[in-house]
Amino acid sequence: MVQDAPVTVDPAAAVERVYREQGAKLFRSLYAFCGDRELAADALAEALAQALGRGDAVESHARWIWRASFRIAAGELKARSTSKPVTLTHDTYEMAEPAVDLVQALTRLSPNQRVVAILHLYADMRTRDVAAILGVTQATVRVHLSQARRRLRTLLEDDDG
Amino acid sequence: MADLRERFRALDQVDTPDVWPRVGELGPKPPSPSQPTIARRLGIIALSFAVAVAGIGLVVRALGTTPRPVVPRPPSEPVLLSVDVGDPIPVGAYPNAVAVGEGAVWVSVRDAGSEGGQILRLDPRSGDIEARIQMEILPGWEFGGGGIAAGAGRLWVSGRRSQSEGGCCEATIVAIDPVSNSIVREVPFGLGSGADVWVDGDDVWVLTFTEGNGSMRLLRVNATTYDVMATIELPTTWAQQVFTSGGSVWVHGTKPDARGPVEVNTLYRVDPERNELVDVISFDIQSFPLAADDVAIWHREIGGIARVDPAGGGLFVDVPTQGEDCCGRIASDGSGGVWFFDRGTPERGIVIHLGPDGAILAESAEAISPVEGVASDLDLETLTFWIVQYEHTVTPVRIRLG
Repeated sequence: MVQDAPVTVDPAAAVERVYREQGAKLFRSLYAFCGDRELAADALAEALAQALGRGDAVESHARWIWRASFRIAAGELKARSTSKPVTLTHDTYEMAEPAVDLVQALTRLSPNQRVVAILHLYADMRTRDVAAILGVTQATVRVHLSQARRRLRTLLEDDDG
Repeated sequence: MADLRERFRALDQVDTPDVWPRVGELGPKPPSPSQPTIARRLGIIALSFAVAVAGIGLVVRALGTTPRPVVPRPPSEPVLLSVDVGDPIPVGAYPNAVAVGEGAVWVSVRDAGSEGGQILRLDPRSGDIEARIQMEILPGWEFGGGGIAAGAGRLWVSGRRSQSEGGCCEATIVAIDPVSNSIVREVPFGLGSGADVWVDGDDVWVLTFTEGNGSMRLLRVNATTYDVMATIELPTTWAQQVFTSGGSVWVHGTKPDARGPVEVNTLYRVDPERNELVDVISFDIQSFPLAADDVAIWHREIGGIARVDPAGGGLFVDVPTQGEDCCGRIASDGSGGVWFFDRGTPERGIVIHLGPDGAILAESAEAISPVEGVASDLDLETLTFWIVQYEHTVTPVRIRLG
């Protein structure tokens, strides 16, 4: 679940706190989304820098950073290729096999299905929170989540077999 | 297979870099338009995430219980079908819409260079033209073959009437008596153009483009008194279908406030008890056309066809198709299932009947050349797809067992 840092008079401290408490999960989520460590790190750093720049104009730092970092990552993916699905970069050899299988399976989903699955199934966000981060309705989240689950089960079952 | 959440725990083993020093190198970034490209791209990137519904002041209600994905498993071998593509029936200049109901097949045929033309009444078995009704108002082309509907003892035809001063235009709907084949009423709605129409019980639901096509309205008209009972503003600039399903009224259009050449990929749910928009569901791809009845809404998906439960809002079934772009003509079977043309290849395809759970109940034994068109409707009594071609003809595609 995404938790906001307590109310503080120092926005920079709030941003840093989000990073310290949720940065690892956010990075892994971004990595699962884009399949590229460097891109995930860039998106996270960019979102944090932008959050710092906005200062106290940001009401909910955690939500804003999650939302911005995924948008940035999605934009980078789109800029690289508008039609081809993401492919894993060479750094997967450092990962355990289950994680490689999962990230590989995620590449077979549409971007919306992928991000909804990651936020709900890995980041443990409620569909309400996912909807707020993506700026869509809960019903839309449910549709994508349902489809993502079904496809992931099929893909991972095939992989298990 | 382990629970999906457990599978995702594998991500916890992924090493994480410390990006905080990099944040320091980037420095705080004020949200100004002159900032580096990645910041400017943020606005564009938003589209890829379907950031569609923010700011519309919509009361979003959670829909029902958690979706129950169903993997389709055919209970037995599908019934084999034969498909008879009939001879094209010449109907006139520019046919653009078709509806089955009130004992006939009704076809809108526009004259060249005119808002008017004819409504043709065809015998649903022989295809013979039984009547021609002269019309000053007929549906337009732009919303994909809708705009006429049979029900509540009438045929309903939407369109627009040019104003006498030469201004444009007034949205309107015309009611036709299917017994006398004559116009009995015209109901004007004010500036704009009529779009799709649907009849449910004593309600006629009419979509209209507002003046200048800047937005859409949904009008609820009493089929007996012709009174406009409600007007519901919709946060879409373009919508192509209206229908009822699961106790709600649904409008199929572009994402809220999307502009330009965008896809029809969003469902708007209206609560008929309150005449209020209560929900928005967006899909990944162009979902038009879709098919609906009281218990199911079927729409195109990437490489398949999928069913949304109109009561629960979740996706229940997703069935792969042979064709990557899914479907040609599509129609509800009235019982939660769907009939559609599966384009296996651009040249050859088959007709498939899915049950409500996605199981293949029947499919054509032999591939046929796809019968494309601008509009279609399925006559469930004769099991005939009536497919309107852009110019001059209507083709019946009859489906038979064996």
